[in-house]
Amino acid sequence: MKRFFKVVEKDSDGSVKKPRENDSEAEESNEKKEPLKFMTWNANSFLLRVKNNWPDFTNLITTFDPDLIAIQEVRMPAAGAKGASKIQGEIKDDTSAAREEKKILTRALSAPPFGNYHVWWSLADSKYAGTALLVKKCFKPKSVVFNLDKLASKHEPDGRVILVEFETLRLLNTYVPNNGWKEEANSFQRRRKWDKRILEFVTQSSDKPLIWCGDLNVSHEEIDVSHPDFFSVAKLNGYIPPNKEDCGQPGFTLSERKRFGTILREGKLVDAYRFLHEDKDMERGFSWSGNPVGRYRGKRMRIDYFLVSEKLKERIAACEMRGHGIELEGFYGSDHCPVTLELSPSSNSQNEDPI
Amino acid sequence: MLELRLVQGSLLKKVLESVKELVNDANFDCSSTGFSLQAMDSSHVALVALLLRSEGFEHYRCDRNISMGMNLNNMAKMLKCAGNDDIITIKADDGSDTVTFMFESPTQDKISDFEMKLMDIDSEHLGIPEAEYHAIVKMPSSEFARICKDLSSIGDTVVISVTKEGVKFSTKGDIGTANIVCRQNTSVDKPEEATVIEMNEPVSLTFALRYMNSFTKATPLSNTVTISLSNELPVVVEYKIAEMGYVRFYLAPKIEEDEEDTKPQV
Repeated sequence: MKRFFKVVEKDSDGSVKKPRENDSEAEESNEKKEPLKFMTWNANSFLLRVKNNWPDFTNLITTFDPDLIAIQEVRMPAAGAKGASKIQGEIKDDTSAAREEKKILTRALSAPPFGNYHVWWSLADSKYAGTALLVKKCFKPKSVVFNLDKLASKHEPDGRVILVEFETLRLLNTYVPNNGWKEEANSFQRRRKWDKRILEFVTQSSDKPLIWCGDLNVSHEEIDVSHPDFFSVAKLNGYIPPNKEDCGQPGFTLSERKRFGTILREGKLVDAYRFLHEDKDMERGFSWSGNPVGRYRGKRMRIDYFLVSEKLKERIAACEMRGHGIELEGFYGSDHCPVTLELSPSSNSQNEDPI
Repeated sequence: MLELRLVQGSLLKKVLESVKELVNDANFDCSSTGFSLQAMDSSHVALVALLLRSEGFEHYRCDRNISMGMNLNNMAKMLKCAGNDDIITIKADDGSDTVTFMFESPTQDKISDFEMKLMDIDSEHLGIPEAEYHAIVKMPSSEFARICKDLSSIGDTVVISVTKEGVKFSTKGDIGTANIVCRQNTSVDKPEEATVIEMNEPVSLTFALRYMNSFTKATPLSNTVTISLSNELPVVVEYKIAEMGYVRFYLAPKIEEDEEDTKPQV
């Protein structure tokens, strides 16, 4: 229906239900604030996390109290009947099974503390990929788009992007496509195309600093994996890529790491975690951990990031992996743990100093 | 504060019955102009727009523009408790998170009040321009409802074609095809039984019957229905609400199979 009619602003005179008197004080003071506490998490199916791990994750949210939560691998299908064009910003609910699952999710997100957040979705056609963005309702974004081209209403295939703009900063939530193991369209080539587009994105000029977070599916340096020798020679069914630099674990090939380094350098981006933690931390320095059973036991990678514009570097107060250990403690059922970023408040008085 | 008093309370009951099948939750917007609602179904294929003009209420007080989020099923349950001849008053204080419905029997010997919690619903408001339509069909609403119901037993979609001969409703399914042609007839005793066709340009569009049948839940609101069509635009199915407003349903046309091959979705 949005193809036919444009979205217009409602009459602003009290068109939104007014909060209670007590809330209005808090809201007034918060309206001038910007988000400072951020979380990113590849949930490896948000629905399964709601079903199986929700009390523990809720406790983390209550304790850390993030202003913004970026989720990857929501794995809920987009709305729209089979074969019809999809509405990627909405959850499918045209079958009773889909309605049931949507209800589980919307109920979980209505209850405290999640009821304090506004939710945006960018979903795939099936139970694959998909991202979500939860922003505390007291922070009102200036815009939310779902693609790297900044076109209103368009979504990336598979729902890999949510870009939100606030008064003084932008936040990009991405679920970067996995490199895969082979030289083919849905593997190495797909990832090369993505890396090229993201490089174009981060090198565009913008007056507002960027925070780029999400599952970036790359470990930048040897310090970012637990066993570099293991990952460097990893293979799938003995396949050897034609290009030597594409050899190894997806996320740890030289090709990916070099392209990532280029993106950081040319995009003037700082890896917030590495900025604060210079040394390898075998216990809590990784965001992804292999299955404790099998050859990937204890094999770990840091592939979930907060990258911030250099302009924000001095404001990085904390950046932490919220999970640890080879038994995946603090992973809340996912194979990724949440990663959090805290910025110190911007010094507005300094900006306003007349000198 | 908001206080609206509607003598013909049954109208509001009928409105809710007509809309709740399509939309789960919606914001009711109240301004000096009237009581209105605009909402899309979950797949964003259909849109409903409701207006009850302030002049149609016996009493209409709206100190400031207000938007009230309601679950329509719950609201319908509340309104079911009103008798068909009851006077309905809707009240809400500024900044309140509840709305009160008061039902008075005609002789005022029974007064009930129900309080319902409001919801926080973020919704987008679409600007609907006044369009020139290629064809406008006005016909008895019961006739239109019957046509949609009959065709549903044969197929899933309806092709509505308007030519100078009249308006044709067609469908096909596993068991066969069905065509219903309504010619213009103005020489009837009662004006609401007439079928009037204005055509500037022939139109032929395909729509999902499932939605059309949902729209016809509004049949009790009006004896006549107006169907406005333009090629490649949503159809508008409009039911007037007495002298005080309308409920309009917009439905995006379906793309035919052969069209789909040559015009891929952008």
